Amino acid sequence: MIYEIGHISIIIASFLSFLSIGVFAFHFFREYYFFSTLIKNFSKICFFFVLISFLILEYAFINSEFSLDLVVKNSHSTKPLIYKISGLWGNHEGSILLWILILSFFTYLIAKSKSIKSSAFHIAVLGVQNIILFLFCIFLLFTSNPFARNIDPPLEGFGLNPLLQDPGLAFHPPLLYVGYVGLSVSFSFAIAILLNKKVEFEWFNHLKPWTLLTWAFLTGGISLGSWWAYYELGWGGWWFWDPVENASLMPWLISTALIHSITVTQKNNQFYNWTILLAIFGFSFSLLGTFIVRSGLLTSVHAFASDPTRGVFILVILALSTLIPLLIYGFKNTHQNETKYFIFSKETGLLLNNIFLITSTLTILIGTLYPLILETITGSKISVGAAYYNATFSPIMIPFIMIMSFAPFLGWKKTPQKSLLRNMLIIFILAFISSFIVFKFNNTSIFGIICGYLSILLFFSVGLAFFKKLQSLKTLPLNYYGMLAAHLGLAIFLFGVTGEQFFKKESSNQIKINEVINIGDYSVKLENVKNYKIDNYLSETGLFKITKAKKFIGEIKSEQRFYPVEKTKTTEAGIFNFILSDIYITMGEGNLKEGWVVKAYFNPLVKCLWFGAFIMAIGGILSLFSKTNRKYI
Amino acid sequence: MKDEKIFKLLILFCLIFSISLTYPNISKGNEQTIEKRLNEISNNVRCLVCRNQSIYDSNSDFANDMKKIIIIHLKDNKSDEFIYKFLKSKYGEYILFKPPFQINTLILWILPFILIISGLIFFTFKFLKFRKND
Repeated sequence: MIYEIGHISIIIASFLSFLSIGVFAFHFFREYYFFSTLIKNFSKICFFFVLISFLILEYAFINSEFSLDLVVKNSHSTKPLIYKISGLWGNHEGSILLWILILSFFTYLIAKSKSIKSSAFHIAVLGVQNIILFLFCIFLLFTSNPFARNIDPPLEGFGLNPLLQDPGLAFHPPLLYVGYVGLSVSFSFAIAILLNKKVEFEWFNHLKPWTLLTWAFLTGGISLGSWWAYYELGWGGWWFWDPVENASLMPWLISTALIHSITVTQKNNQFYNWTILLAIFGFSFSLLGTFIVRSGLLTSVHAFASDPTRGVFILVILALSTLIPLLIYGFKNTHQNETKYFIFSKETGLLLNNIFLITSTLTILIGTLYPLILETITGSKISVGAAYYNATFSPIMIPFIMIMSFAPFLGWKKTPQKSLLRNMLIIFILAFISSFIVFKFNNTSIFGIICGYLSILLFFSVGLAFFKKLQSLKTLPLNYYGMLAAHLGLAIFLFGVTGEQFFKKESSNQIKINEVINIGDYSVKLENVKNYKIDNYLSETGLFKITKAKKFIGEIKSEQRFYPVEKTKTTEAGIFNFILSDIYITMGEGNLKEGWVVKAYFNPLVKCLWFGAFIMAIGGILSLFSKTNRKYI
Repeated sequence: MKDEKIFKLLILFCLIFSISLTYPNISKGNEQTIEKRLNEISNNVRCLVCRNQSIYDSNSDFANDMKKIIIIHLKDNKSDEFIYKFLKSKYGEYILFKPPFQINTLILWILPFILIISGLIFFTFKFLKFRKND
C-alpha cells in the first residue's frame, strides 16, 4: 500500500507541474496578480510530493522490500546499510527519481526566492522549470517506473554491482546531479529573459549565483568520480576519456564559460548573446550527458542500464529543449550596442576564454559522438581514446592557460600596457626558471615540460596578483578571492597532471611470496596472501611491505574481491599515501606456486589532482557568498 | 617607448622558450626501453573483452595475451607503426584508441582545428572592426 502512495505522489507532482505550466501559458494572455502566488505554491507543493515519493522508495530499499522490482534487481538483504541507501541511485529508475527530486527542490528554492522583483519574470522562470520537471516526471512514469511491483516477490535480491558498493558512489552521483540539474536553472533564467519583450540586464544578476553553485557542484562531482575511479576500478588511472566522463566534462566546460561570460554581461551589458546561448547549451549538454548514460548507446563503464525507448525519450527532450529556445532566440531581436574595448582588457580575455572553452567542448563532443555517427552511416567501428584527446584537446588548452595567467592583471575596457607587460614578463621568466628547478626535466616529453611550466606560470600569476593587493586585502570583494582560488585550484590540478602523467613510475611482474618488485627508488615485497570472508564478499588479500634503500616505509594491503551474489570480481588497489604522492598496488589472480600478477605504480603529485579540484570548487562557493552574488540568490 | 621594449623582450623570451622546448626531445635518442614502448602502445590498444578499457589498464586474459604478442614484436625490433598495422589487420580499426588519419576520420581529426582557427579569425575580425571605427 505505502508504495502505491509513492507512485501516486509522483503522479500528483506531475499534475501539479502541469498546472504550473498552464498558469505560465495563461499569463501571456492575461495578467492576474494571483498568478504569481499560484505558480509559486504549486511549485512548492510539488516538491513535497516528490520528496514523499523519494522517501518511500528509500524506505523500500532500507527495508529490502522485495515486492518492488527495482529493489529486487538492485539490492540484497546482506548489504551494509549505506549501500542500501545509495543503492537507490545506483540504477536507472532511482537515479531519475533523484534527478527529479533535485530539480523540484531547485524549483522550490526559486519559488521561495525573494530577490526576484518582477512577477512576470518569476512566473516565466518557474514555468520553464516546471516544463522540464513535467517532462521528466512523464519520462519516469512511462518508461522507468521505480514503483513497479513484482507479483511473485523473491526471498532475496540480485544485489548491487560491487563496483558501486563504495562510499564514493554514495556521494558522487548526487553531487554530479546537483550540477547537472542546476544547469536547468540557468537555462530557465535565460529563457525567461528571452521571453520578456524588453531585456532587463538586472536579471542577468540572478544567473550568476545559480551558475556558480552548479559549477562548484559539478567540479566536486566530477573530481569525486575521478577519485573513486582511481581507487575503486584498480586501473591505476584517474581519467579515461570514457564517454560518460566526457559527458560530465562538457557541461563543466560550458558552465565555466558561462560564469565568465555573465561577469561581462553584469559589468557592462556586453556578451549578452554569449551568455544566453551558453545557458541554453549548458543544459543541452547536461541532457546529452543523461542521454549518453541512459541510452547505453556508447560502451562505457557506467552503462548499467540501457534501453532504446528511454534513449529516444531523452533525445526528444534534448531536441525540444535545444531547438525551441534557439527558435525563440532567433526570432528575438538581439541586437545590442557594442561598446569598445581595447586589446589588453578583461573583455578581450574573457572573450578568448569563451572561444577556447567552447572549442574544447566541441572537440570533446566530436570525439565522443563521431564513432557513433560513423557506425550508423558506414557501419565501420572505430575507437576514440586518450590519444585523440591528447592530440586535439590538450593543444587547445595550452594557449588557453597562457591567457589565463594574464587574467588577474587585466582591467575593464583598458589596461595600462606598461605595467601589464612588465608583470607578465616577470612571471613568465620566474615560471620558466622555477619549473626547471621544481621538475628537473630530464628526458621528459615536450608536453610534460609545457604542462609543468603552465602550472607554475599560473601559480605565479595568482601569487603576484595576491601580492599586489596585499595592502587592500580586507576591502577586496569575496568574488575576487573566489576567482583567485579557482585559478589557483587549476594550477594545483595541472601540477598534479604533470606529476602523474609525465613522472609516473611503474612496474609489473608475476611474483611469489617474499619476492620483490622495484619502482623507482622503492621496492615492494609481497609478504603474505590471506583469504577472508567479509560481509557480502570473499577477499584474497596480499600484504605488501614497502622499503626505500632498505629503510622500512610502510605496509599496505591489496585485495581481489569476489562477490558471490553478483558473481563478480573486483580489484581493490592498495594505496600507500605520502603527502602528495602515493604508491599504488594492484594484485591480480594467482596462486602459491606461480605467484600473483602484481602491478605497482609510483604516482608523484597525484593528490594535487583532487586537491586542486577541491580548491576550485571552494573558489566557486566563495564567489557565491560575495556581496554582489548573495543578494540575487 | 619603454612599452615596446618590454613587448619585444616578451616575444624574445617566448622564442627562447619554444626553442628550449625542442632540446630535450633531441637528446632523447634511443633510450626508449621495451617496457616503456610496451606501455605506450598498450595504452592505445582497446581490450576487446572489457568495457572501454585499454589493455594497459586491464588485467583480463585477452589483455595479457595481447601484451605478450606486442612484446614479441618489440623484441623483434618492429616499429610502432608495424605493430599497430598488425593489430588493425587482425582485429579491425576498433582495437586502436587512436583512430588512424584516413578518409573516414578526416572530419574527426580536422574539425577541432577548423573550429579553433575560425574562433580566432572571429576574434581578429572583431578587433579589426573596432580599429576601423576609430
